[in-house]
Amino acid sequence: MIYCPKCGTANRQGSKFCNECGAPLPATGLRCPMCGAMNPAGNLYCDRCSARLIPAERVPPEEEKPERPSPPKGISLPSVPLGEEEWLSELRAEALDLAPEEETPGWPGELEAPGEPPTPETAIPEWLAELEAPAAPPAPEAPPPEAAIPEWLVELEETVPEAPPPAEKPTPPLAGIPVPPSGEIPEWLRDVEFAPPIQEEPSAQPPPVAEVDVHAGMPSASTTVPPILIEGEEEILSTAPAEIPDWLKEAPAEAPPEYGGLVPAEIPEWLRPLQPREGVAVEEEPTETEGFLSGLRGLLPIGKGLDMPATAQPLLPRAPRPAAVARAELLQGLLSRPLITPPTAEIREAPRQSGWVLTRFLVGVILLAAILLPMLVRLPLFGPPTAPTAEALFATVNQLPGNTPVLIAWEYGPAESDEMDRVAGPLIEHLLRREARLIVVSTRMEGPAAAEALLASRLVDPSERSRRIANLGYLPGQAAGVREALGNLGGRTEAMTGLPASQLDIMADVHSIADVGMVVILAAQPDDLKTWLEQISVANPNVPVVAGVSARIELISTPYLAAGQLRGMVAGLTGGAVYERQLDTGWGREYEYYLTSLGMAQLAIAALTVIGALIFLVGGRKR
Amino acid sequence: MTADLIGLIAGTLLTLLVLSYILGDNPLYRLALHLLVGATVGYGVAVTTVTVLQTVLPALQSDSPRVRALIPLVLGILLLFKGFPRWSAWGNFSTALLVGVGAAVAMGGALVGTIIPQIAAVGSLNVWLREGSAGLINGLIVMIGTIGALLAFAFAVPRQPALRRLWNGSVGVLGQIGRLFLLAALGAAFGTALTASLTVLVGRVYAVVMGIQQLLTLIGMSSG
Amino acid sequence: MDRLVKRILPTSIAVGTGLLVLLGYLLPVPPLASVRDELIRWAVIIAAFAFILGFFNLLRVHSGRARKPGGIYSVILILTALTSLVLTLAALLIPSLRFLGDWWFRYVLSPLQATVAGLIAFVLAVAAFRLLRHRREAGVLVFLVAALVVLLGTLPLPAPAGNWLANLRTWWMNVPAMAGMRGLLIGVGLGVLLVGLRVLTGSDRPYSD
Repeated sequence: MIYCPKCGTANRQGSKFCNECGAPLPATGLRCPMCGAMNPAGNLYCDRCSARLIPAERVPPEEEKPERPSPPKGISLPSVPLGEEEWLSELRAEALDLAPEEETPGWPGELEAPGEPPTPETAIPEWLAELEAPAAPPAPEAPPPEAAIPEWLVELEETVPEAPPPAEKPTPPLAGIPVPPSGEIPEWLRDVEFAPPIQEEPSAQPPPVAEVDVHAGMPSASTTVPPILIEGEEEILSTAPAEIPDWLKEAPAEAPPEYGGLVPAEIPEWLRPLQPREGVAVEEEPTETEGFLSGLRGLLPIGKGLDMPATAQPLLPRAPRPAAVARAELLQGLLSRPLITPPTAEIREAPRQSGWVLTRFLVGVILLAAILLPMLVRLPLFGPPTAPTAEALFATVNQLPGNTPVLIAWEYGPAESDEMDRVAGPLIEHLLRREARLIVVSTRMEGPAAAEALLASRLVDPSERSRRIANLGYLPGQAAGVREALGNLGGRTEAMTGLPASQLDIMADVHSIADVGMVVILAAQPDDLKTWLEQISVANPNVPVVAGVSARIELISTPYLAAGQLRGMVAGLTGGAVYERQLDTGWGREYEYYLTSLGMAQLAIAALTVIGALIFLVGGRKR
Repeated sequence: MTADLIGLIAGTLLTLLVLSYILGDNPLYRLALHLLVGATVGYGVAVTTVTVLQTVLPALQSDSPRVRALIPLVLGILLLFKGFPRWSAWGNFSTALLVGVGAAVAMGGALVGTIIPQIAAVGSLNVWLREGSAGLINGLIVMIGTIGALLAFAFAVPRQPALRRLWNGSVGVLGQIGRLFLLAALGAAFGTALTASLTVLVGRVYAVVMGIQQLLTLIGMSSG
Repeated sequence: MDRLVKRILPTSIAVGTGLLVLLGYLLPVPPLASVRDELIRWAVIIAAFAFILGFFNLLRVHSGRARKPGGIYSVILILTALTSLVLTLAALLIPSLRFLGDWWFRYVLSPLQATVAGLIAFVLAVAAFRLLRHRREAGVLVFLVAALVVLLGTLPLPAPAGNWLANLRTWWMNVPAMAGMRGLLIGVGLGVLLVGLRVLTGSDRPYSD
């Protein structure tokens, strides 16, 4: 059925004009957002290029599971474009700057600081954070749940309700968005949070931001198509649609906005996967209306996706914000239909599931086999690992004078300890051998406990603990916490004994970072390393800083190492193994097993990658 | 010993529950995830609470003016009002302070800790010179790549056609080159992330195997 | 009054504290430096409360879900959270009960967290397999080559190919990849500066409605 956008009457599929009012009906096809081809309305995938026509719920690009339609929030979606209600077309008509569907962060990370304030760094959208972390576009640093995003998990990750509903005020939080003439905002939309719209000009150029044109060709009152980037759709991005619909052609050609003589250019296609989800195109700099700069324009440009929306962000764990107009349309269509019972949390397996299940099962089996094989059969396949940086670090630590106070930033917990214990272990033992005094702090909540576990295993004489180690516990507040601790180490409390640090012998002459002889950063996440390095540079740039890092952040540490901000680095299991070998502690055998399993697994994945590339290159795109 | 035994069983079971994800999303996996979320958050709040107590209580008892400890305490409690829609506005003061201080701290760190040293490092070729001509070439590659990577995000284009051509020719080309460097970096980051996670997976598989081994031994011992 | 409470005061606080801290960095003279340190100290304490707030909100959301179908998971979550809270608090506050916290950390928290982290490898492996499924262009090939170089060069395969690969990996990480990463770092740093400036001029106000 097609619903007339003007009067709402249901018309038969294939009708071109409304039976009731004669208005032209939207084209009965779905335009493919990838290649622009028109597809029959019932299709889920493009006939030409196999791209997904209906946006999936937050499917990360590499983990797209096209066989399984994943309804947002458990409501099943019709796969037919629906008629547009008036308020919807007005929504579309206004240049909406839709609040980004915040990508749910890796939720263990989220859990660590669900209430972290929206500091500028945390406000940087995920795509940018992903860029600096080894979370390449096809592989976000996301835990497995994101791959499937079953509806129940989305709810799980959503630890806040969608913005506190403004129960008192009739004014919706939709500032700037026109209230539909009827005055009736659907209940579910009232709760939706929109960022204030940024004025968007209808540009004569094709919309720079990719648009998921699910309801292709739908004539609306608007003269522009607001750029919409539905969350998770990095893959389904298009260049300008193959055919510019008539209503767009008729748009008055307005001069592109000017900013110091520059005009926005089209964002290159290769970059679209990296684009922020706000869908903020390069557009005219808005006039500042707030603060000291009110009335001025373009002074502090809003960066691509780097700006913070000027509405209250929930301080609480960030919830996905359902603001996409297309989803609004689909949901509105659903609401105007007879009642559909939403499916329960069960996932319905579509017929195309089998290929996907087979793939992941095979991959899982291959991986497990690769890991287990060295346990059963001795495989002298790999030579001894090399890590020049680890060797250099060993030499540096070897020159540490005795009794030096060493500050250790213990930035990992149980999630990474399988790797990090083997990186940090030799380093810690070396420091203990050099008679250093270890002062441990952590901005991770599980950090101090993880530290205790490792320290206990590497300390030869437990009675020495109070003389050699002070565990000063957890630092809330991320960068501010680091900064505070660096300036005031003596003010903290020892985690095991509960004594104030100033009363500990080991801290007798250590009050702040200025009194420390070396800093060791043990980090598994890029932000932790960066925060510590940056704050140390501010507080005391002269203290030597070294790092024991997970392989994950080996790359992000390299620029700092090259610039001299890090004096040494041991990275990953291989680095740890090399360091262990230099130290000759006798744990080497364990490393050997680990390394062989790791090597086998990496080989297996390399082979899988090549095979997969060949299959998809040669065999054509699969449905 | 019994506690450790129970713990061993529990730990192995939980590990297997999570690993069941390989077979696909299933109720066991979901159970494990909910357990994880609950356990982590509960642990975190306990640690946070104790840390706050350790910081604030001594300050309240000390000689220095109580105000210094009371203000953050009051602001912290005000922040809790954010959980109630009616009074959530009262939490704005605390949030404001957090945002203001956080912004300043982050800005200072970013400028002094990353931007300045990294930009300085881009231009310093003498480090590379130490490694001879190969080093010089590498240094040049790094310089071009860094600048290109930065310019890859420059999207504003001059309006006048002549300038635009010049722009596209210079900045545009550099941007394209930079894009390749970005992909080189991201691909390498993907590989290293894989290495790191594989290391953890190896550790987990080993833990399960050894756990089962230990349990079998104990069962064998007790029944033998 | 409403406007005062909701907008003017918070904005003044944010801008004022931010500027004071910045000033304290630029001119580290005693009065300014101690103001700066005090403000940072306050922020740290308030940040801790933010996490506690998140905890209560989590409980509230899930207690609401507990009544709906499929709510058994929410019940489990709440129970686990409370158990974890009580055990850990007891362990931290009462030395003789420390073993409880250790047990919980070692046999419940750690296996769960670690295994979920380990599953990422599985997800990434599947992703690597399907890399070329939808995007086929030169850039993705660069990405692919980079990933392969790193994977194959980490553990030295038998010589001579193994050594060559290992050297290639070292070069890749230190030259092209580092260049790209450095560009990213600088870019992100500039972004942080920009955002911070917008906050400090009151143009962006994430703390108020």
